[in-house]
Parts: sequence; structure tokens; C-alpha cells
Amino acid sequence: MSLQETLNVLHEKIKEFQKIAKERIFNLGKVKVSVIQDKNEEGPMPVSLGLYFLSNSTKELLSSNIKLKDFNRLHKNIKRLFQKFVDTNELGNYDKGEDLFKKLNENDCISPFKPLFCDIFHEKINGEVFKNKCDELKENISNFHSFKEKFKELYSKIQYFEKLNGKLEHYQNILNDGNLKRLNEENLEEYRLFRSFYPLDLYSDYLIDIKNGNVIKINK
Amino acid sequence: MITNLPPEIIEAFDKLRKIYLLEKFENSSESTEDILKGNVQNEDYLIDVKSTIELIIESNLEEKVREFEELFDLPSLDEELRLTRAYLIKLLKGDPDVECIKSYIIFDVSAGIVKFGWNYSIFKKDIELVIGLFTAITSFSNEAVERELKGLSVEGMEFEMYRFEGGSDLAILFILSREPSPILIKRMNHFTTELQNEFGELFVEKDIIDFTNNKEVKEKIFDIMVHTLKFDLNKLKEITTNNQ
Repeated sequence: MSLQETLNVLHEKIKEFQKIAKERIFNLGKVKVSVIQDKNEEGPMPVSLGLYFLSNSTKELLSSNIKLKDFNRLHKNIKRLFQKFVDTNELGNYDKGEDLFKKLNENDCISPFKPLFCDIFHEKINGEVFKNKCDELKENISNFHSFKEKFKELYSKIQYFEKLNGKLEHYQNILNDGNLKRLNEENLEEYRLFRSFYPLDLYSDYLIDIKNGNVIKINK
Repeated sequence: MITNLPPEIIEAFDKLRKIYLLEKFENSSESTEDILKGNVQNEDYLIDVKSTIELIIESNLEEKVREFEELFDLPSLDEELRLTRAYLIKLLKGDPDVECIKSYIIFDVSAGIVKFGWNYSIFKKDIELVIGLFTAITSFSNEAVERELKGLSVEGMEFEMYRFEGGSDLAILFILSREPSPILIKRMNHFTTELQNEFGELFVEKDIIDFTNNKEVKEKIFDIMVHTLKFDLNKLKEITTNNQ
């Protein structure tokens, strides 16, 4: 395959990946990557923007005389971006017996898994199942299609928890203040899920009135 | 007073009342066991609790918790709901919500014409008067209401009417043996929507539809009754056969 053809294929692959990024499989907006720009200046940018930059520079190369230094720069950028893309490679590389939670917690790149390290979530996570899920990801890492499916499945659950994680303190404050009105402005489904993180006896004066679809406070 | 309540049932009710409001369970100074013992023969009470438990099941709130069961250790109350519901139905010697529906009629409110009726032959004498009454009510004619009331001899029955949506004059009239519970009201609403979606146009186009003559339609309507009103298919067939 000629260099020109390789770049064409690469360009298509980057576009394809941009599309995936748009579908928010990964939390790319939050993760930054250092990209080598013109005149060899480096600057951090969000991965989503980095992909756009990569797509454009590949396109530019295709329409000009390709110089080795340009290609090398592109190659480096691709390597950096795709390294971020497969942040989850970290998952694939962990050794059995290693403290996975600790490893993930130390790594800022693996943002999708961050919510798991909030104490209350950590207490409730089924470590064995989570480890198996990570092993599954590792096994599928060379096949992007199946990797994507496995990741999506796991990430969608974690994403929901991420949303709830942000609300945990909020719910606790409302309950501690006894502000029933504010509690009833929240989603009942999320409240039920929030309650499942605590022992049954805790907050048991706040009951779900299923007939009226709200929460009521009983006197104890 | 019954003294030998199964401990797993007491425990199941106990867990449920810490998350959900169960009627007459809210007095936290009284133990779950004592509340249950004092009410196991109170039919109205049991129906109320059963209705609430089924509303919880149908709300899917527990299902949402269970979705994460594999990855997280989040206790859902499915087992408790299943146990308590089965126990209540056992105490009530059957599902009163299902047995409460004696018949239902689909009719044109503006014309007072019956379009379809299930199991209505047992009330045939009064059905036309009942339809007339509802037609009179919806047309705001006091004279007509009084006229129909005078002729009505149906006693000890409750009626619920739901109009079809979308501007048609069709309505469904349920004839019930008692005041419906909240879960039954929810199911009847759901049934009306399903029926309208499936047969709405046919009801408008045809003057009278005899569902018993069309096997496919009959099966479909029975299927909706089983899934939304929770009829037992075999018992449903039995009722229909006995009244033909």
C-alpha cells in the first residue's frame, strides 16, 4: 500500500472514530491530550478537538507533497491520540492479582470509571463481576466492534451511576434538612436507586407513596 | 386471631414498609407482625395492600434497581413483593381485582348504541338502561337521567366509564362487583388504550362487532384482557363458554 493510500485509509478511520466519539462512547470532552501542532509547538486540547485536528492535518497531507517530518508529526499525534482512545488499554494491561481499583483510581485518563471510586459506590460494587467485565474488555480490545459493544454495555450502567453519584450529597442534604418539597422535585426512580445504597432502616421515615407517585414523611 | 404467620412473610412486609407506604402500616410504633395479625381477616384491608403492592410491581422501580444487580450489590425488593402478593392472594382465596370485573361494554355515547360487550348477557336486562344512563349523563340531560334511573334495577354494582381518546364518541363501561382499587383503575385505563389502539377504527366503522365469530380477533382481545386486566386465560375461556 502506498503512503497516499495509507493516508486515505487513515483519514477514513479517523473520521469513523470521530463519529464514534460524537456518540459519546467515551468521555472525550473531559480528557485532554498534548498534540504537536505546526512548528512543533505542543499544546493540550480535548481529545475530541484533537481528533478534529488529526482529521484536518491528514486531509492537508493528502493534498500536498508529503514531507517526512510532516508524516512523522502526524504519526506521533496519531500515537498519542489513539493511546488516549485506548485509555482502556490500561484495563487490558493490568496484571491479575494487581489492585485494580487502586490502579484505576490513580489513572486520571480512565474517566468513565471514576464514579466507582466514590466510597459509597466502592462499597457496593461486586469486585469479582467488575474484574470479569474488565477481563472481557481486555479480550476484545483487538476487535473494535465487539470492544465497543462491551464497553458501551458497561459504561451505560456506570454513566447512570455517575449521574446519581453527583446527586448523592444533594439527596442527603435534602433529607437532613427534611425538605420534602425539594425531594419531590427529584426523579422518583433515582430516589429509589439512591435509597438502595443505604440500609433499609436509614431514612425509613421517608416513604415512597406509590399511589400518588411521590415521597412522604411519616412521624416516628 | 391468627397467630402463626410465616416469618418470611412478616420479614418481607417489614422490609417493604421501610421503603414504600403501605396503607395502614404507617404507624411505626406498631410491629409489622401485630398489624398483619390484626388484619388477616379484613378483606378490604388486604385488597388495599395488594393493590399497593401491585402498583409497586408495575411501577418498575424495583426493576431499575435490579438492572445493576450484577455489577453492584444493590438489594431490590422483588422477592418481598412476590412473596407478599402471593400470600395476600392466598388469604383472599383468589385475585379480587380480576374477579371484580363482571362485564364490559363498548358503546357509542352520542347514539347510545352498543358496539361490543364481553360477558354482558348476564346483565342484559339492565345493560341498555345503564348505557342509556351514561349516554344521558354525557349529554347533560337531567330529564333523560331521571327517566333512565327510574327504570334501573341494577343493585350492588359499580360502574366505571372511560371515553376513547381522539374525538370519537366511543366509551367503555366496566361493570364491577365493588369499587375498583387503584391498581384496577390503572389496568382499566391501560386496557382502554390498548383496545382503542387495536380495534378503535373497527369500532367506529362497524355498527356491531361480534368478536366471537372471528377467531383471530377473539384471541387478540383475550390476549389484551390477559396482559392488561390480568385475567387467567383458562378461566376467561371458561366464563365465556358458560355464558354462551
